[in-house]
Amino acid sequence: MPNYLIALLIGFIGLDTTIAFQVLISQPIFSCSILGWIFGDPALGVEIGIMMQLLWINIIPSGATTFPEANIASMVTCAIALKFAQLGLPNLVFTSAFIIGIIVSYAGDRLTIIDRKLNGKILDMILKAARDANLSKITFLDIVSIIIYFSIMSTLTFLALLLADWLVPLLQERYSYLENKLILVKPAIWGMGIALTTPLVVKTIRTRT
Amino acid sequence: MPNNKIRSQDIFQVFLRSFFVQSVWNYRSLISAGFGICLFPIVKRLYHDPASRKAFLDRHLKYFNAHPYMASYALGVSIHLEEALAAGDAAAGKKLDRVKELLVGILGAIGDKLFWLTVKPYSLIIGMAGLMIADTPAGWAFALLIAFAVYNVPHLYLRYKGIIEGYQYGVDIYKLLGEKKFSILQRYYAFFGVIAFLLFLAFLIAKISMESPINMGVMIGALILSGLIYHFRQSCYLTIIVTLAVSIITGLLFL
Repeated sequence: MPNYLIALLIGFIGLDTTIAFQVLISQPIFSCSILGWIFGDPALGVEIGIMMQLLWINIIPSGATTFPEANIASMVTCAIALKFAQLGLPNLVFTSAFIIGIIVSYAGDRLTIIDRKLNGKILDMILKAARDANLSKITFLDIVSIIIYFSIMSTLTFLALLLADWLVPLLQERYSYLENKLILVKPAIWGMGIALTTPLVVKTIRTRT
Repeated sequence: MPNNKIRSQDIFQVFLRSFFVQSVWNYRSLISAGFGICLFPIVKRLYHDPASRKAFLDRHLKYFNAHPYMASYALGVSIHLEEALAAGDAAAGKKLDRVKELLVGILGAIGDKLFWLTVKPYSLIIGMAGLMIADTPAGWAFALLIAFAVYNVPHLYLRYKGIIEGYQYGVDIYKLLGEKKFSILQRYYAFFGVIAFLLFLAFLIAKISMESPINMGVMIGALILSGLIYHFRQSCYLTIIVTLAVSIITGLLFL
């Protein structure tokens, strides 16, 4: 599957995070499983989906807070791991994919702030159109705002996939001996996930008792 | 003479548009632009001249914020009061401003507590437990379907019911919006969610311990390290980066 199609798909699913729908389809267990099915390896998609979900489940997208762009990051991690699965170096590929995913989550967070500031400009245009009671123009501007977010996240994903296209084959060529040394990364991420999710469960139990 | 009565199809169109209520989220007016756009089927039904449409837009493009699902209640109240205003009740405009101001805090607090802190994480945990237990693609699809339904049944119900109840009750909606209204739902999700989490942990521990005792030890070590960092610093990034770095360095040194 070409990078631009993966980027468009991830950008579209990413809209579900805050911009549109919000039916949970962008959450890693759903989005990574979908990617797994698309790439023909549902088992890997599901495994990465559960792992990423456990890691990021505690993030609450409420109000004006900014937060790691975890859904896009999880999809990017999963897409890279699936794309390079045939190399036969699962630990090296997964570790690279995960590190790129962390970078994407941070960049996505920053870009969301920029998008929200851009929306302030769109709001000015909406208020101007409101003075003329121009409902069609306001609807058009609303759609433009959605397209801008979609474009930002698709471009970010596309760049992350390009980075992976350069980095993963390079690591495979020069550092394939690291494969066995990175065997601890997946169990460490499971541990991190439990550590980050447990406070939520403990809080619920305390509140209920 | 145009018919100024709201129809059920108008309500349904508002419901569909409510899925985009946060589309123009910005730091000045928060969700107000999306909120106003949700009400376009109503303005088209009630107002037919530019001056009254402009006044409508002025009322709804001011600052407003709410949890995106619970904003439905404010949409319903707005429809109720706009209909009254269009029918000649001049006081409805002022009431609209006041009730929307009042609802900002209430809807945000209830929605965050109900959905972001309870229904969402526990629906996902139920999905994760289902995925962990199932071991075939059909089983995974079923687990995802269940998680999707567990989350979206209350979500879609409240999104629609909120508009209907807001429209029926008008300014009295705040009487209906006590936290007790949703406490049973919260209790059920918390109860089954905690059970699902324990089940998930049991299956995860079984899976990792079957892989190798080293993996099990690494998972426990990472859990303790991450738990300590997160407890003292409350930073996801720091927790992830430090634990990841330690696991990579450990592998490089000892494997």
